[in-house]
Amino acid sequence: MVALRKILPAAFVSLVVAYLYAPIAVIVIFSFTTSPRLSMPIEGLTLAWYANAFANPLISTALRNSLILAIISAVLSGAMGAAFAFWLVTLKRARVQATLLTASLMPAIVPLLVIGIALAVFFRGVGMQQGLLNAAIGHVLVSLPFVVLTMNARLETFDFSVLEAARDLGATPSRAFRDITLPLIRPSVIGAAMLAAALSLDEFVVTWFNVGNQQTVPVLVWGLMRRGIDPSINAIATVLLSVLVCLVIASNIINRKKVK
Amino acid sequence: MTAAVEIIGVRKLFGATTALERVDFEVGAGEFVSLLGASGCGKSTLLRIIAGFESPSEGRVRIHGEDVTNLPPERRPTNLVFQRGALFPHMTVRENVGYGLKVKGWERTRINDRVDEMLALVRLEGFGDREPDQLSGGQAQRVALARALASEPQVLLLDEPLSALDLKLRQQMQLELRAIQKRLGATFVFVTHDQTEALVMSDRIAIMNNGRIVQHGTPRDIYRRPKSVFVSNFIGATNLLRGTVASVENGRTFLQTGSGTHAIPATGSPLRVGQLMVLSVRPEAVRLQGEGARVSGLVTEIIYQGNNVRVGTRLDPDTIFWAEGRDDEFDGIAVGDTVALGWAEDAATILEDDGT
Repeated sequence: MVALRKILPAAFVSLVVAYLYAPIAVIVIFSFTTSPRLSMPIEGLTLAWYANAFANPLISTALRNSLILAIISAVLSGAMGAAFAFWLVTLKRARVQATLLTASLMPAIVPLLVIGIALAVFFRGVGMQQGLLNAAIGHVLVSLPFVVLTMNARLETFDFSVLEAARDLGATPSRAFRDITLPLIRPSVIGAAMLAAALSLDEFVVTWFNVGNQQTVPVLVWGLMRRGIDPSINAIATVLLSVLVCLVIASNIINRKKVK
Repeated sequence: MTAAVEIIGVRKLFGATTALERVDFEVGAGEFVSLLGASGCGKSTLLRIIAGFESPSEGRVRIHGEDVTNLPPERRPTNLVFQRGALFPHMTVRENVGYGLKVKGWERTRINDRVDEMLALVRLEGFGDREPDQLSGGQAQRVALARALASEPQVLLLDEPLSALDLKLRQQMQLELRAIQKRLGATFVFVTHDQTEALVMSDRIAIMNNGRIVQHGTPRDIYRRPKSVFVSNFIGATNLLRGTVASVENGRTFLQTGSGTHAIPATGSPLRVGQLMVLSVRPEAVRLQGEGARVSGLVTEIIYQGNNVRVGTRLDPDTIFWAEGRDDEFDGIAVGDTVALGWAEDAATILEDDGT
């Protein structure tokens, strides 16, 4: 009985972890196996699927588009979100501040389907051709709330008296920003921008409604899947996964350095 | 004495609340002035108005004759030492102290010399390459002081810079600050809520309450001759006896209180017979007395403080009268004894009853 009481929780935890990671593990493993079909036992290991994937011009174009969108999201969301959050914490009225913060976070809980369709309808209304630009606008919209959220959390512990100290010692507001504010918040901004890039890289719904004939990695994979499972997809997914994991880990490490 | 800081009719409103009511005040060049008051009395607001971080709703601020009311902080000849130092966390001690000079465009070698001089002044030679988070609280405040003094401000403003330190360190820093101010001959305006700190350090104290300066003067002046019940309560402990003026004769006021009629040296404006006034006498001026005793009552409390003993005596159901003195003065007194107490006539002050 005693043994069972100890084993049961451990077994349950293992089951949950297996449930969370098994599909990912399967994809990663099969991106390296020689057999074109998902089958056990594994016959042999190969990097052929990676070579295949990168040789396919469709895939390399999709990868390039995805990177462009990720960079645009990182730069624009990072800059806009940081500036907005910074302005927000300097507001004196707590009620206005709380309302604006909530309002800026709302898009994060609006279903992506709604955002995707709404943007598509809007772009059509103003006569903008579907394409990468539309998708980029969508990506910034989707990642901005997360940037505002992380920046706001960091800035709540920011000691604004150091800015007053700089002014007091003779620095103009722009000099104080350059010498004091920027170096102090830079790690947080970079961390938040990397998060925005990660969100952009695997964004599918909003992209699909707005990107038109262009392909991004998630949209291309979705298209390829409809024609059957090609092990190259496993390879692409594994690459995407590695990039995302790196981005999220880096973002966490950078953000853990507190804004002093 | 020329005025280093002139505050002329300064008012400050924050929305509907008044932080400062028409303050007029002058700080002389080379003076160490403390603005003393409880939190929310307006002392920090007044300091921030001098520094330029708040602009007054009305009134002017002049520094050495020049009107600075509309100048931003970076263009004022003042520097501020912040409550918690506000050191730049991404710069070394050396870079912190030299920052103001760098902004002014000084040459690197000249900055280095000046920084060394400042670090020596606050006794932190050899700490130049430390990061702010490697400093103790006292060291951080010394760096903040060095940073503020580096560009030789005409007026140094200090916003409760010692309040985060423990008692021993605070007392040591009080003496150091005072010594540095004396050595430089600089003008210091020091904000504090700690009356002992103000008494120890200042040439002059301005006591603030509800956005006004209610009294200013030398520490001795303020302690010995408080002008109101508020001030006598705020600076040190005091015994208060409320009563009506019975008569005024030969420079003495006779105040009829619940515990007898007491003579007090007359000061200030002439009093009418029948006017409600308050007698104030410091506990340390009260002595056990056989003959010539003024009040008597039952001892209710004896508090041993090491160097001193405080004895509380109930005069009437509402009044506990405190006497304070050396341990041996109260030998043989126990709770429940009846004692007679007295004080020298000129140790008592007569005050208007301001209800506090």
